[in-house]
Amino acid sequence: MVLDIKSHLMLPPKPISSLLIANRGEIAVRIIHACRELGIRSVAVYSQADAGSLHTRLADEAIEIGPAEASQSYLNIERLLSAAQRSGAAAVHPGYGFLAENADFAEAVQAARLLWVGPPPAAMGTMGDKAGARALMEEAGVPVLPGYQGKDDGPSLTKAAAGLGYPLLVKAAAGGGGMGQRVAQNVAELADAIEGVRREAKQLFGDGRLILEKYLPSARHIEIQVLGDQHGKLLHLFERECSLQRRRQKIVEESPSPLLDTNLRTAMAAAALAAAGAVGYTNAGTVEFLVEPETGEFYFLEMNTRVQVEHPVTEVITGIDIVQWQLRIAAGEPLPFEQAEVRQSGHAIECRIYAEDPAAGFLPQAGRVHKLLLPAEKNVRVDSGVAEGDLVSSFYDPLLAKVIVHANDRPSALRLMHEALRRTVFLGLTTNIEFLQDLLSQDEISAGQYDTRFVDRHMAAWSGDQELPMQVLVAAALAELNMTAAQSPSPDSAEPEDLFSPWAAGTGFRIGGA
Amino acid sequence: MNFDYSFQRRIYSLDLHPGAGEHKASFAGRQHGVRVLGGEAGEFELEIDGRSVQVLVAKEGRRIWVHLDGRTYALERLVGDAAQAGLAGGERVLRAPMPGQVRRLAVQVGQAVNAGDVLVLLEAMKMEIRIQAPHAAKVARIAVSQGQSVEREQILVELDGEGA
Repeated sequence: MVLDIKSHLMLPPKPISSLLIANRGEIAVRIIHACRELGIRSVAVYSQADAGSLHTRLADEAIEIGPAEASQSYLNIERLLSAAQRSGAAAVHPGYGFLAENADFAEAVQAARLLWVGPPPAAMGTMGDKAGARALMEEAGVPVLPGYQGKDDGPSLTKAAAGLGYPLLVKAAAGGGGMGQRVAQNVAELADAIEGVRREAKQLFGDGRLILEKYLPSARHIEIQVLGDQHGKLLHLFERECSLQRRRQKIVEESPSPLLDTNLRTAMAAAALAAAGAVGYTNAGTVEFLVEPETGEFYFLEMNTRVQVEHPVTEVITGIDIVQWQLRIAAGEPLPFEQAEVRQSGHAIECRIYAEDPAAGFLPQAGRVHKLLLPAEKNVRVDSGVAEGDLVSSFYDPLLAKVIVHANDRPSALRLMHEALRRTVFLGLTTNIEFLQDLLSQDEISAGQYDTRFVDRHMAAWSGDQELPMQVLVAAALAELNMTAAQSPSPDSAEPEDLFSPWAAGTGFRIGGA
Repeated sequence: MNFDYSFQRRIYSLDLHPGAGEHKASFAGRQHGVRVLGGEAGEFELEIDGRSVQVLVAKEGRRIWVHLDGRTYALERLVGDAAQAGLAGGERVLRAPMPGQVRRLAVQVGQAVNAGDVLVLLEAMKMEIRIQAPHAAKVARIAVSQGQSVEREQILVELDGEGA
């Protein structure tokens, strides 16, 4: 008799008792909330730069894993595993970024007899290799962009490029998330692009292999969320439209996509399930596509084998808690609902609040959040990684928070987002909040007509408010006077400014936070 | 009391005369009556020319952030010489826009540069940041060395003379 290994899966699943979160910032906070809801003990890790940060305060336990440099902390497999062992964690959730798509990490977690909250490492490995994934997708009948994956020395690439035609994209085979790629408009630009991307690929991914892909100058980035359990059920949770990007990174996401009709949506969802199925995918993942708006042709871009930053958009329109299900699926629970029961209800939009300067090339910013106000309206959700008083360092991704709204239809959702952004206030560092407000005020956005280059084309000259309202000046000056008064050594030996302080005459209210 | 601020490379000057209940603010040749109605911890309510306004304020050194009507304004208080020299000073002194490392110095002291010339390459968060000359000038001083770590706002280069 052959031992049926699968029968082990038939045992009632044992819930995860405690979880190590190998991440930081808002996603660590998000996962801690899911742990609380499921009665799981949460273990946070942090670098020295993150000591005392929000995720370490909220978790049941927090373990320091090294210095600020990610390579010695959040990217250090040994230290993460040692923290897991010390804390007695039974499972590891990688979040997104850092080691989330690193198959070696997933394998190391499993080898340490811990549950990996994610897809099988083999599926991660296959999808993580652009060249291999392209070939496999072609085999699985998933449309891919015309491209080239083969010998990647300069002459071979130049020859292949001539066959493909320009413009084309030079991409790092090991790349992802918009990192490690460059457009070549013609053969003259190709050599530069090859050299540049290869250098970047070696630096970022430790792997200099390159592939070529046809470049679509006007395309939309639309992705399908999938969720699969360990019992063979693989479902899609509809699309997210993510075309609003800067520096090839998303800043606004919504669902449903204003572009898709039922036919296109159905075709893309089927392709996403075929893609995920081809690698035996389980847990949460996202299949990204480029869509040509004129023709409705869509092409496989890549699969993100992890939870996405923008997962809340799908959570609010489907009512399915993706992070909770990641944990339950990892523990062996079957998905209790069928495809037909998954519905897209209403319209959801997410805006990513970054510490960055949109007037200066979206340069990341650092500083202390002296004052923080978040919208608290109905149907507005905020996933924040920072609290008032926290220091935002320049060591990591400058994402501060995500504002997510849910309404009956797209116009109402846009209106609600405008209101929510007006009430989202981070004082003490430069953020993209005003930029997002102005971006969403563009006519093309209301009309739902935008592609991945919209921000570059229409917002490049954005430089923020130029007019300073007189009221702002008055408030600044009043705050200044109060600070002077507050800093004087004792009330008896008041400085001359004290006598003139507007606060002395009034109710003595403090502003500016001493 | 006089308050000078810079905002978006322009200087704004406000005179505030505290009074018993109402303060007088004069700005751009006009007078405004100001009352403080209430507030705490950086959130407060003012009445300006009879109209009530909600404002959020935070301050750090000479930088001050004010949130009014859904928008945040970042100001810098100008004191002493800076107020006199105005923003021309800001144009001559090039500072690090964010913390990072000096990857390369592209110029030498005494070198003539044109508007847009790259002076310093910074690396921060795996990105390359080019510090460029805002106008034609001569490099008067280089305040950092290659490989050095710099803080946000740290002076990198000082230029001499305004270009045409």
